[in-house]
Amino acid sequence: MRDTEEALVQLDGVWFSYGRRWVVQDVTFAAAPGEITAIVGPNGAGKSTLLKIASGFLRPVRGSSRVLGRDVAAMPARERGKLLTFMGAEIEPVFGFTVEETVLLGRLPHIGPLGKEGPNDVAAARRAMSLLCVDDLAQRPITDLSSGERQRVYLARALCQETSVLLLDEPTAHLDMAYEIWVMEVLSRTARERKAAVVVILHDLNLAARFASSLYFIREGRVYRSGSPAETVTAETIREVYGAECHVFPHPEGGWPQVIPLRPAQKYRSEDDGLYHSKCGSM
Amino acid sequence: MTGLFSGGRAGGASKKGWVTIGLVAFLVAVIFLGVGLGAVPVPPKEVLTLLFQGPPPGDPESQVRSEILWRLRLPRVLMGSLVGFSLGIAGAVMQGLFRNPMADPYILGVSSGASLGAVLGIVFGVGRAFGAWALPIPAFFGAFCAMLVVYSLATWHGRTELLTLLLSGVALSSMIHSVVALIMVLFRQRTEEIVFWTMGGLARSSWSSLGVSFPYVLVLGTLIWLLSRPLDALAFGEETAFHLGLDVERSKRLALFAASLITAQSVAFTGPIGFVGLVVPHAVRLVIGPAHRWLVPCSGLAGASLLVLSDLLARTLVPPAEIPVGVITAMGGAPFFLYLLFQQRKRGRGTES
Repeated sequence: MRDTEEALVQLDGVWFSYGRRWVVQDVTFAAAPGEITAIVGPNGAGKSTLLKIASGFLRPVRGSSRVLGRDVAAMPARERGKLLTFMGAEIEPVFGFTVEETVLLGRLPHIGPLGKEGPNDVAAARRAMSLLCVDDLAQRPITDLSSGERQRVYLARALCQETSVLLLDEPTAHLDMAYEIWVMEVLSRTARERKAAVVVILHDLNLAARFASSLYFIREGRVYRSGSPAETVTAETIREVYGAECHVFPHPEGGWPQVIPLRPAQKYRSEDDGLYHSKCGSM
Repeated sequence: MTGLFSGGRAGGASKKGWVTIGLVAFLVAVIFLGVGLGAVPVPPKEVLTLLFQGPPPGDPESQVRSEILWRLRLPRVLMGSLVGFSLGIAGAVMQGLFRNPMADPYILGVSSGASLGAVLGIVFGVGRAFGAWALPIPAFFGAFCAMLVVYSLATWHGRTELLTLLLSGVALSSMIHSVVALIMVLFRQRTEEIVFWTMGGLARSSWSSLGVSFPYVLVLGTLIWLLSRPLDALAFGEETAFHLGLDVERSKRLALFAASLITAQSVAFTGPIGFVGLVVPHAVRLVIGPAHRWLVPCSGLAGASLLVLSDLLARTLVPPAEIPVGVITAMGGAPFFLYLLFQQRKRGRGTES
């Protein structure tokens, strides 16, 4: 999957900075069609920035970000919208658009700003809504929903866009245990059926190890390690990237690595064995 | 507006359709009322005769009433509905764009710019030299310049930042207001004229101003309505709109300019009239929701009715004196706005706990 020709999403030697500090440093990244690629790493490592560079929302200072071999930032807006979707940490909604209206907005790149949604678009929205179990909420204003319900609505909008690249920043945020698994199942199925490249940022390494074909561990704006779950999800990687001691063992059913966090890594603890986190310095 | 009803959402769309039809009917009724009532009331039946058949020959009194209707009231009422319509849709656009129900059409400093233009026009005798009809020209020019200044202040490398836009608008407006105040002090003999202008009113409406305004509002109103879907996307934030395949900067620019230009025209002819553009879209949203393809026309219609009604009150409450219409809209609008605000706060508290 590091084969450039196969990759739908390809970042090469990407550098990015919001000001003084390099947030992303020399990252090379590829996501292949038909599978889920997970980006993992501690808070502030640059994961979301990386995803926004892949979507064309941010332009890399150096390096290139391509989708289907084309510079994503230079793509005409509507064409980009047909090709890739992005779901991030959405801002609190101000207006009470109904769930249906919200999901139907995913059809915008297909019908254009002046067009009118046809039966196809409505059908696509219905499918997406029922996949994410929000069809019962169709006429409810999104301002009345819980954050978990809203998360599923935004995911439905992204699916309804019917793109071959899906970039999702924490798709399982706010979701309960059952929906977490369900959403990941839906995403795997979407990847397989549409031959889509699904890139997700996840905090739950167990979910990532189970559903992603490849993982990128990001630390301080750089790729620390990438590869299959078995190659990358190890106690050593987690210690280096997150600064946490973990117990890693094969899952009893599928054999993919499972992680049980134990404690902050030794070097992040003070001499007298009190709790000490080097990153924030608190006791 | 054909095809509005085939939205594939029978329930929602038909309700919105009925609301729209209701608003059109209400506006027609209000216009009729506005034409009939005033210092010289004309009974409804005679209004119809005078408007559609002309005065019966050999009846001088009817002749006078016909003159009043055609020369004074009809242009005034029609102008009121055009201006109310403009303010209603401009308010809807600005609130959606800024994702803030407190935004209003004057957010880019259009009203203060128009005031400065009009005040300079008054001071330099544009009105005396060319007649009162000429005053909207410097006013429009002032509004246009203010809009351009605010827009360029907030635009950097082809990107317009909305927060900067908002703040530049506030800053420029207060600066211009102080200049206007200074001019009022320096030109005491013109103060009354200036105050009268800045309070806003429809007294200067004429068929010629209508002739300019109507096509202008028609074109910009249509453009704004066509921007409904981009506006829906932008209401979710610029980042979301970007990822929905929208050319965010272009849509923003188009919407800002269209809404400000339609406002500039209305301010130029009538002076600043507050609260219509703030309260109307807010209230309409409560009834039909925030989707712009309905919100925009309905806010326009409701704004038109509100302004015609307010103007009717303005000229009939304390005859023969006329209250500035801005006073009426503010008196009615502000409490209503506070009511909405408290209503919302109450609801917000309910869902939080």
